[in-house]
Amino acid sequence: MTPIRMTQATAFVLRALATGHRHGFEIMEVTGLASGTVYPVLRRLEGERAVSSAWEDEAEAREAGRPRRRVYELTPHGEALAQMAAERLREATRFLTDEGLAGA
Amino acid sequence: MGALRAWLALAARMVPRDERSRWREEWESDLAAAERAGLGPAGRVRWAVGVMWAGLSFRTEEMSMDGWGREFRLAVRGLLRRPAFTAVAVVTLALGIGANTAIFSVVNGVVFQPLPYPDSHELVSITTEFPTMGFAEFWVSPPEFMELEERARSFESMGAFRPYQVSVGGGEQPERVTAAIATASLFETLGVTPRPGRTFDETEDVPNGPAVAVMSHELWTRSFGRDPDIVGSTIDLNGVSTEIVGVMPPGFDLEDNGIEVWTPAALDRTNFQNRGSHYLEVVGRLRDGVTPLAARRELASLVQTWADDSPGAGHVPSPQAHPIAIELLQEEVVGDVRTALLILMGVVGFVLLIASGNVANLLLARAEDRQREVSVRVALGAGRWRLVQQFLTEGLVLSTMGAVVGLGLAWASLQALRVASPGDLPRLGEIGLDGTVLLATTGVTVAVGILFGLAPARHVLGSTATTLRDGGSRTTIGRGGLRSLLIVTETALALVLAVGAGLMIRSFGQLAQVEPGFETENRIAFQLYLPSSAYPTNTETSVLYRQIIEGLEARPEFEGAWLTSSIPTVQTLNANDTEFEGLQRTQDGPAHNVDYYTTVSAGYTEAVGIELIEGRRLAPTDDASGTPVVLVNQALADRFYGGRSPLGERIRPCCGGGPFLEIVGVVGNVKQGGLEEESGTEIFMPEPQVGGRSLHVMAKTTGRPETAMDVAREVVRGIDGSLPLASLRTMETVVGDALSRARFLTTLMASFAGLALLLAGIGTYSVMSYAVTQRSKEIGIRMAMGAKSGSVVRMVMGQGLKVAGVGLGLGLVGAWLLTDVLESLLYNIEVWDTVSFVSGPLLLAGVAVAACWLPALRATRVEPVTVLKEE
Repeated sequence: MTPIRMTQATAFVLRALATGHRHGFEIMEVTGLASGTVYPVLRRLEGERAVSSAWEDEAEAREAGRPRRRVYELTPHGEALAQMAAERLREATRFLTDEGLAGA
Repeated sequence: MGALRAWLALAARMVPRDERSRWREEWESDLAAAERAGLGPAGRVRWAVGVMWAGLSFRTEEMSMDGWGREFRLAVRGLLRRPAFTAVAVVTLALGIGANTAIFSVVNGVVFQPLPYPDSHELVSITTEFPTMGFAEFWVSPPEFMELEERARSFESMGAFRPYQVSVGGGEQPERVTAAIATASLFETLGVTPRPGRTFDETEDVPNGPAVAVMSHELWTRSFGRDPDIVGSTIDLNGVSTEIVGVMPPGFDLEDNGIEVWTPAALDRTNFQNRGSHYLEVVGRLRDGVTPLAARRELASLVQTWADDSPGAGHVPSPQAHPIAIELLQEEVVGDVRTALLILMGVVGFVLLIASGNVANLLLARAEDRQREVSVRVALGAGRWRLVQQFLTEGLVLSTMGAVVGLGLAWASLQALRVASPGDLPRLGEIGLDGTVLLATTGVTVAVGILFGLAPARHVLGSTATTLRDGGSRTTIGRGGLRSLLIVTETALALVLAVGAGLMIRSFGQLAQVEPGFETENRIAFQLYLPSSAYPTNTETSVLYRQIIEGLEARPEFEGAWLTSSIPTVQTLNANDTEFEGLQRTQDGPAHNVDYYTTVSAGYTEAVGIELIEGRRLAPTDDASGTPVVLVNQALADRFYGGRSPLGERIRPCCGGGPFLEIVGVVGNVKQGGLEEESGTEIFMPEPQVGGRSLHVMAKTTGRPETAMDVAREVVRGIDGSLPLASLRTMETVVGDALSRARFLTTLMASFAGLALLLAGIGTYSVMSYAVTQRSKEIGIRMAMGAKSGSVVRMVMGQGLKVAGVGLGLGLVGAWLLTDVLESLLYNIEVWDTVSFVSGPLLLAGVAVAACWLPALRATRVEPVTVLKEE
């Protein structure tokens, strides 16, 4: 399997999925990324089998009074990637905060 | 809201087809979510722009290198899985691309590449003409050259030269090489400077100037071991001690003469009298911004008044009788070979088209086999682009494989071409697989690959709907027409080539049957040059030649030996003014000019089998003390003396005011200037009376001429070891060489036509085979209904031959239109030659019958039961 390019956007999307945000618009809201970034990342992750997606149950959607939504879920491979992403994000935060700068 | 949804629909159109509906629905759902979340107008616009961006990026990802890489791997795997198909396709393409690459290399090197001089497009060759004598591109006389230099304003500079043969001593061994006299201005005109050393300058290029020379890099390397002290040292040129002042850079030559030594022309700049002696070849460099046309106009206007500015008798340039012509030097060098090479380029282009037709056919057949698979993929939502990409990659991989093998073939063919090509093919050294050739091959490969990819893709994708509707059992929509078109085209192209090759072969046959006017069997010839330092007068040269003749005749390997100033078929035109005693020059009568002056020893004309028509031959008694005599050929007798006998008449050869010679005999015509040329007018003068410093010895051998050659060398070495033997060869080789260009072209043309025929045959066969397989059910039913084998054969053959017949018809029209271009290459054959126009179609019809017959036979072996069971 080709290794995923772990961009910051990919790390954000993986993190969002790992924390239970499972729809496109939700992911945009929580990450602050634009639609033009989120959808291509989701599609790439799906192509790499890090994420699987399916339509939610039609009846459920009707009950909620909205169109059915596409539901994304991390695969085991995706979960490992999400952990890696979390680690990266932590490191980045450390680097960008006083702690990281003081240590430099 | 409506606008936003329409925009969304548009963004969804950007998405590859198989994912389109999914993303559209997802985006609509997310938009609804966004609206519920209270997204403001600015947020919505941002979101909408993002969605469009996403759609576009999906599409570009699909087209990315990643996609190509995957398709490439798939294509290679697919081709390797079908080794027979791949091998046939690759070999077919390799033949087409290889032939094109090889011939394009030749065309590129010979015709297209500029000559190897700085700004070579400014260089022109200047010649004179004598329209009344039928001489175009004639030489320039020294007075004309000096006047041109002074009067013509279009030229920055001009130089003159004339090749001759020279014996070089002082190196490892005495050698006979081609030299040229040259004006000092020639090197400046060409823009080439020697390394090391210098060229001779104007103070050295004067009558009785110092003996200086420039040598070629090749001679310096070959005979002087690149002696670093060569400049300033002296070598022996024709017995004259000569100082070498410079060495030209590697490959430097002029008009493919193979010139190895350059010596000063030493023109007498004060003598404007000797106007009849035209022997200089002139090269000019046009001034900046002056076109050849402008220069031509200037010369034409100068010629109008030339006579007024150059009072004096004879041969002054004039508009009608003696115009001056210019031509780009490149044209002059490439000359008539251009036509032949461009024709060959067209021929191999045809071969490539036929080869491509066959491969396209194979790919179509294969695509049809895969049509059901493709249809299912399309129905399941596979993107069309993905499928097109797959076919394109396959086509490109196949054409690239063909090109790689083809380049190998081209390289090998070029090696063979270099060996087999005629000696007179110009610029042979400049032919190679260079960047331009590789670029052209790459272009052809990509074009062919795209064609191979797109044609089946379009074909298959265009009929997927039908295939599915019909349950995949019928896969033949519109295919028959396309395949038939391929066969029609291939047959037509092959026929054009077959007729062309037929014409070339017939023409070569005519040429090979030309009666040269002399015998070649068991005869050898070589050339000697007797330097004036060792042999100052005619007496000494005569004595030495006599010794050599006697030396040869004393050996059992020789029946006899004779002298001649030139060897038939390779004699340079003399075209010398000649005085005919008692004949008046008239306006309408022939110009008093003779094509060939030949000096021979007694017995020569008889020994080489030149027929005696009237009078007597030259005899040993025609020596220095005898009456000056001459033989003339039939062409001369006819031209100047009409029906009457010229015996007893007297003529005086050109230049120098020698005695009148009495005509004592008339002999047959000899093809002195080449087999294709008309036999010109000729006189034979006795060697003892006119002498000769550079003569050929022609000897008749008792056994194999090849073995006698060593003996000839030994005899000459025994008499004077310092004399190099030049051009030692059998007379059969000489005449063979005269045919070499025609043989070379004919062989190439016939080979390519043969290849085209073979490929067209294979193409027809594969289409017919495929048709039989496709129709096996129908044939099975027919046979079950009682059809006889004969009628099945007739049906299949009829189908195939109808298509081939249309191809033959179109091919005949094509041949009729195109063979015109061959006219200049044909000897003694009309371009409408019936034999070629009948045998070509017959041959191709034979191939078509054979190609249809085998599948037809196979059709009769169809087992009705088996076929029906399969259903």
